[in-house]
Amino acid sequence: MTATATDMSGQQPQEGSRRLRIARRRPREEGTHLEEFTVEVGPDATLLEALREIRSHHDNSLTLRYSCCHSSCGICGMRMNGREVLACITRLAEAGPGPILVEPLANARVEHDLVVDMRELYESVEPAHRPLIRQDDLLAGLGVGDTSPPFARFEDCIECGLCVSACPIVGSDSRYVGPAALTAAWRSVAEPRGADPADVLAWVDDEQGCWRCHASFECAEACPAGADPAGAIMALRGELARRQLARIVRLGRRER
Amino acid sequence: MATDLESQTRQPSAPRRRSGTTAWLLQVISGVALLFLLGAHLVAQHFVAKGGLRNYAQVVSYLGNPVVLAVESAFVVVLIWHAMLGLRAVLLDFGCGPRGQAVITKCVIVLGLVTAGYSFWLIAALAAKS
Amino acid sequence: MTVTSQAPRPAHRRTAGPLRAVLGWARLRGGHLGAAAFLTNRVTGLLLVGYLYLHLGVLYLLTEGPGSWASVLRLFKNPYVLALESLLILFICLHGLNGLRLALVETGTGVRHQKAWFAAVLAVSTGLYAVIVLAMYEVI
Repeated sequence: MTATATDMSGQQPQEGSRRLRIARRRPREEGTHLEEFTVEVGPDATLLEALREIRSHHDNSLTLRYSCCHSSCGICGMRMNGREVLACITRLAEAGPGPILVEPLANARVEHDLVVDMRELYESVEPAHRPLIRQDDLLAGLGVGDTSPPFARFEDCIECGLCVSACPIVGSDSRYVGPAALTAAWRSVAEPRGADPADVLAWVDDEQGCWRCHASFECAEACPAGADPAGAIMALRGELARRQLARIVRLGRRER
Repeated sequence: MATDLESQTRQPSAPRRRSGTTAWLLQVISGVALLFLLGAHLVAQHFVAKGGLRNYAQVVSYLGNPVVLAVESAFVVVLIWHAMLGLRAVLLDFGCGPRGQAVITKCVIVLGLVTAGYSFWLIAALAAKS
Repeated sequence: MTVTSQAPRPAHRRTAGPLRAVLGWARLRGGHLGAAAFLTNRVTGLLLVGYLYLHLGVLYLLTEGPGSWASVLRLFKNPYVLALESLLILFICLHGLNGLRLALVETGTGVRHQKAWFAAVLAVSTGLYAVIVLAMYEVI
């Protein structure tokens, strides 16, 4: 950014230029090509800031999504040097020296440049019918009790799609429901609120459900919100395995 | 709501499948069993006979022992089972859809039976020579 | 809350061709230890299946009598063959110990420590490999 910021000591922080190699693709076309831009940025610049700088001063046809700029909305997901990140909170410095490769999320249809079709992700999460507000012990512990309006805590998952992009299996089998859907399913099972979780468990108990996962844990590494998709999938499997063993034990007892 | 969930992963006309838990449990159980059976096999084959490997006569007399026969047979069955389940898991990851899945499962079962058939023929042929 | 979309959406399909999809199993640029474990298990498993059939094929020579089998035994004096066979031990250790890790982790036991456990799998496998190779060379 051409505007500079001063740090606490009153000195100007070092400006530097970074090279970004961005995957460009026009809508409804198949080919992707890399285009390189050089931006002048401060040391704390985020990927999103650099991309907006490119739009403002270099090429305003560069297409990307962003909204809240503080990792709440989950809409600015992309890959930086092959790693899934939210552009708004990821510093360019995290990419190390040298040119930075910027690509859209994997395992989703690319619509235009860095914008992908998020509908598959959103629709995959629907069947879990996970309520968006948690009933957590956290709030009870804080003793916020009788205040009005009451505090609410949202589900961790911001539906950003980083986990789906990181998963090696989704890339080879798009019928796999994916880590986001399974995390939502686990939340419905862990917090059933009086409903019977059997429906959700039957849905994930499938070769394309939680058994398709091969425990690479990339989803949990990528998740910016601490929703721990890998933990959720393992918990679902644990629950299913426990119920299966209980069924076998019950069958054994009945036959005696 | 149930049809909502089911349409996500299988077509209405597809036959009701066994729970995915079973395949996974079998894989784990056979895997753990193999830690012992394979260990026994390796030790018996490489650290008992002088020079590390049995010559022809030693192999035949080894297979003449009924306990050995039982353990090696169990080893063969469990190994083939685990290998076939593993192959199936890798092939399913290619995303072939529900019909492809049924085809892969059948092929893997046939391959397993053929391999087991050959293995037991081999064991029987050698045990008979003692 | 239902998501409605105006534009037609392509039906479920792989987002990449089969070769690119399989290469995606090897997460190299953004990958962590868990992905390395997944790839190791997959590669060693497939190689071990290949070895199984090779082994079963070689054992056929036993049915042809002592002479044929003796030529197989001579093959095993070759240091290159021995080196390959020792690699087999390494693959078995990696696959077996990682399999044990998966059996525990995939039911929710110790998920938090899965990376540390894979590091332990690598260490123990390397150690066992070294011990067994030494034992092999003692015995031959």
